[in-house]
Amino acid sequence: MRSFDWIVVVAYIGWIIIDGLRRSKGTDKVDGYLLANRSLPWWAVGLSVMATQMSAVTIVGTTGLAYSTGLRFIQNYFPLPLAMVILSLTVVPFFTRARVYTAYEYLERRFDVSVRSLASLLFLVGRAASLGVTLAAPSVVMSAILGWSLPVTVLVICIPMIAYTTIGGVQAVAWTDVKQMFIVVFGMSAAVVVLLYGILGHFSFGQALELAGATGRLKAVDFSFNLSETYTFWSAMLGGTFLMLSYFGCDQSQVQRYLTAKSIDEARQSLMMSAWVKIPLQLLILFTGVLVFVFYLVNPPPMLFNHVHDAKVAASAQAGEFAALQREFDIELATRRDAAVRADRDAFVGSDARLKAIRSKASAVVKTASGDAEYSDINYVFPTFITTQMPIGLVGLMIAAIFAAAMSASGGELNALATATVIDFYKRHFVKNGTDTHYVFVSKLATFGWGLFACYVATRAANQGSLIEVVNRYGSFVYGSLLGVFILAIMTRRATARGAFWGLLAGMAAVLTVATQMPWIAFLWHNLIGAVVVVVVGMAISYTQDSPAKTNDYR
Amino acid sequence: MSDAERDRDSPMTATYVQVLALEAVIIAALWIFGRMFS
Repeated sequence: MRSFDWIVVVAYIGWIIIDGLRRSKGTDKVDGYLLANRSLPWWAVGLSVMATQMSAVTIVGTTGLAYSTGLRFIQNYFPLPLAMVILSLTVVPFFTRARVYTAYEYLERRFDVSVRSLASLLFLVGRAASLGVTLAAPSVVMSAILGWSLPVTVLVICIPMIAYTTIGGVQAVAWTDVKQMFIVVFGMSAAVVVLLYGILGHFSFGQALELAGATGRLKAVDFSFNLSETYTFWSAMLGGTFLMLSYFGCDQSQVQRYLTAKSIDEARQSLMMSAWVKIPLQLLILFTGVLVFVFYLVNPPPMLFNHVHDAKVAASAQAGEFAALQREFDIELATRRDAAVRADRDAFVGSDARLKAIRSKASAVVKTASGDAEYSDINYVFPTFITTQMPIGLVGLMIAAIFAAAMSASGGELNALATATVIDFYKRHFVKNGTDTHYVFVSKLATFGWGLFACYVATRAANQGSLIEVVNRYGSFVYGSLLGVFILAIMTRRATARGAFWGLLAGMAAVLTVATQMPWIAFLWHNLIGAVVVVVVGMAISYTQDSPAKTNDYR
Repeated sequence: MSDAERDRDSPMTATYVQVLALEAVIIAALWIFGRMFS
């Protein structure tokens, strides 16, 4: 990176901190600090909802995935509009009318404190672990790309994020999210322009699509029904719908976004914004990855994009084998380029398959030489393109966009962790009648403390690649069951507190059993299984008791 | 803002239908797009 790019990155991070501090006005009361006095316009809330969901991994990982496999991952987002409609009709009016700070606070009003505390605890444990990974994944990639040490990269993301989140509360988070969404969309659009400029000198746009399509990268929809396949239309629309309902309806990091809206109508409009925009936005990101693939048909790519173990490979017994693969790769690269230019489809597809096989062999050699079984280069494709192919200024902007995405996703999660800690535990169980000043102070302490914890987990998680998978699995382990307990709370009047509590535990036990005993079932289905078991067990236990005295008053 | 304004619950059925219709169109377009270029 050149000096001007660094100036862009530093200017952007400085702007984020200064504006975040400016947003701290009016946050001396709990309502202001945690819910922005329920005063934010729908479009700001909508952008904040999308920014919280879009982590840096969404940018670097999704483009890398599209480079490697194409548009299939878009199916993951198909259930989102339907989930947003369902949530607008159900939980949004409930939470807004109940005037709650956390989603779990509502569970105490509907059931009892044990259900609230259990649900909130599950959220805290799952979200705290995933926050570390949300920070770790982009930090690992950026540290390798920029040549920084991992702790330095983690701190570059964490210090501004913790500062503006701690001082400005949810207002700073939401308004920073707004800016960050604009930076991300502008950056991705700029990348598409640069890619098209590089591609159209060699191929027409139609030829570029033909080449990408020939390798299956434009096949976005798979209607096959296969429980072991993670991304198909059916796993997305059935399992994925439950995941989306749970994430946007029961996870405090999302619920808190739309609790800041002025009214029920504005909260709904903010969710509708995601429903309209999310799939086209994800398509833009995935299509960028496909264009990177076409770009590298005429501009030689490295055999592997992740160079973190280069020195170890060069010094290992596998160095000769790796060098031979590199020579084979270079020859095959020229063959593929010729076939692409000649529009010889069969030769092109065959050559591309051989290149893929060479890359796989090279990756296996790196794993053997380094002992790093989790080695992968998918997340390094797009950052490599940015730093080696994009023009001065835009490199800085794109790096700022990746940092922006890491901070916006983490800031929302940090804010939600602090809110659940203070409202569901500290205020509920320890200091029930404190002043606003006291609770705001404790909230700031909690934000800062969770921030430090996340930094620590981020540096540790980076050395344990499998932890990311563990956390992803934990997310689906918890989310379906949480959704089940909210279905009991909102959709039925007959469910009792005991039914909800034991139903929640039964749901998690069921998902744990499925995850460990039937590993061939893709994790998206865990959400459906968890929700169904909670509802069935919860209702069965509820029917053994008298009807609950408490009724739901927020319909 | 008063509680009544905050709790105003305007019907949004037309928006919901439009959102789901757009989603159906996008899925169909992606499917056709994939078949055209594979």
